[in-house]
Amino acid sequence: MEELERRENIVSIEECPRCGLKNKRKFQQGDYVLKQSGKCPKCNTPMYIKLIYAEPFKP
Amino acid sequence: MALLWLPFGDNQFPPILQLVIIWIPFIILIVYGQKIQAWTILGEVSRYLNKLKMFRDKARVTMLNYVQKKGTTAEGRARFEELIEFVTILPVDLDPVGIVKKLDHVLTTQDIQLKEEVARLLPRDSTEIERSCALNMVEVAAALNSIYKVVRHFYILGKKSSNVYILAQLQMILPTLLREAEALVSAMKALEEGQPLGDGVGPLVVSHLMKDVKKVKIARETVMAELEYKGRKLALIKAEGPQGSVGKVDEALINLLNGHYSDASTIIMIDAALKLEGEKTGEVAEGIGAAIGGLGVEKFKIEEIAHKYGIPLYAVIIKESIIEAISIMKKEIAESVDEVKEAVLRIVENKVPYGGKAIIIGVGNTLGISQ
Repeated sequence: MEELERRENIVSIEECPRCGLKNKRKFQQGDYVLKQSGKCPKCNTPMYIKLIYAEPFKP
Repeated sequence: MALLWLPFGDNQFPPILQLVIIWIPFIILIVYGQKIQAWTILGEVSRYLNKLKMFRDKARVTMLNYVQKKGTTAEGRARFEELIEFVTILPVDLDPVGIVKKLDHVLTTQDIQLKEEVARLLPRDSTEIERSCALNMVEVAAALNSIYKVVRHFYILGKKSSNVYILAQLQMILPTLLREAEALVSAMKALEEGQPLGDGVGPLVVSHLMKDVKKVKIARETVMAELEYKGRKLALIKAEGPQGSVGKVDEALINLLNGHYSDASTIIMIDAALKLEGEKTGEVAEGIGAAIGGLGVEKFKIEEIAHKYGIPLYAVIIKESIIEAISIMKKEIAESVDEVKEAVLRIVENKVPYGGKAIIIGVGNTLGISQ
């Protein structure tokens, strides 16, 4: 059962609507697609979560 | 008889050994062969059944822990356990005329009843997302409970009657059932944390299209937005997120067509579709027809209204397995979004004249996907 839960990494992909910069981070409780997240480190524009998905688990 | 002596040479094999090694096993296999086969299958089915029980219990416990964490009372917890056994009796189909309306009525009643019950059992200050997550978890726990009980029923039936044919059928479908049960259990985690499911790819595409425009509610748990694209007017429809819901996209379409969009040139539906073994997950395909799953009520209504107004139905589907559809969205599915968007806009450019209108519907569960 434990194995079942650890097979995947859940990630949130943030994107800057202005410069298009993308940032991949671990999914955090409360994340959802189109939620505003942090500010873009390049142009300081608020970023949004573009995608949330599971990718194969890498220890 | 001479043949039986052959491997051992002339008169070198005592008759008693011949009886023990050859004849007794032969007779046992003839008389008890089916029973032995039944015992072997029973052992295997029993192992599968234990796993299914483990999955069912895990889902039940996850659901109960979730509602307890959200502040439900001890009575509420007990009622949630009862909801796992909730049954829906489908209408009689002896006279199929008008069955879709009856089915729609039964399913809508079930939907409303479960939603109201979950809302009543959770604290008043619980959010819409929490309620929808609890509801989806009840549905998953109920599905696992039902799978377990049906398998157990046939297992006991086969055991009682030593009927090898019942057990063999069970043995054949169990690996697939187990994979589905496994996917359902892993979906519990996604539901608990509000993560998008593979089935949510349709609403995901539409959410990206309607990101920067004003949204209005058009039907129960369903939103729409209007977008100008290269001189065409697009009405975008999806279930209201980020709570877990499939919305009422059929009613939304009916409202639009009976209103300002009766002159629409095309309806484009985006949905996850079951892939065949060997097909790649996340593959995008275009086609004709109403791309929507379920028991067929929504599909029927959409086809009927499209036919009434003479509007062609186009479909853009994203291939995935049933297991991927009910699990957390996979990378390949999520990354197909841009390709789907391109396909949809290409259909708009090719099929909708300049100044014309199109309706685009994202079908699926919008859990973890806002608009």
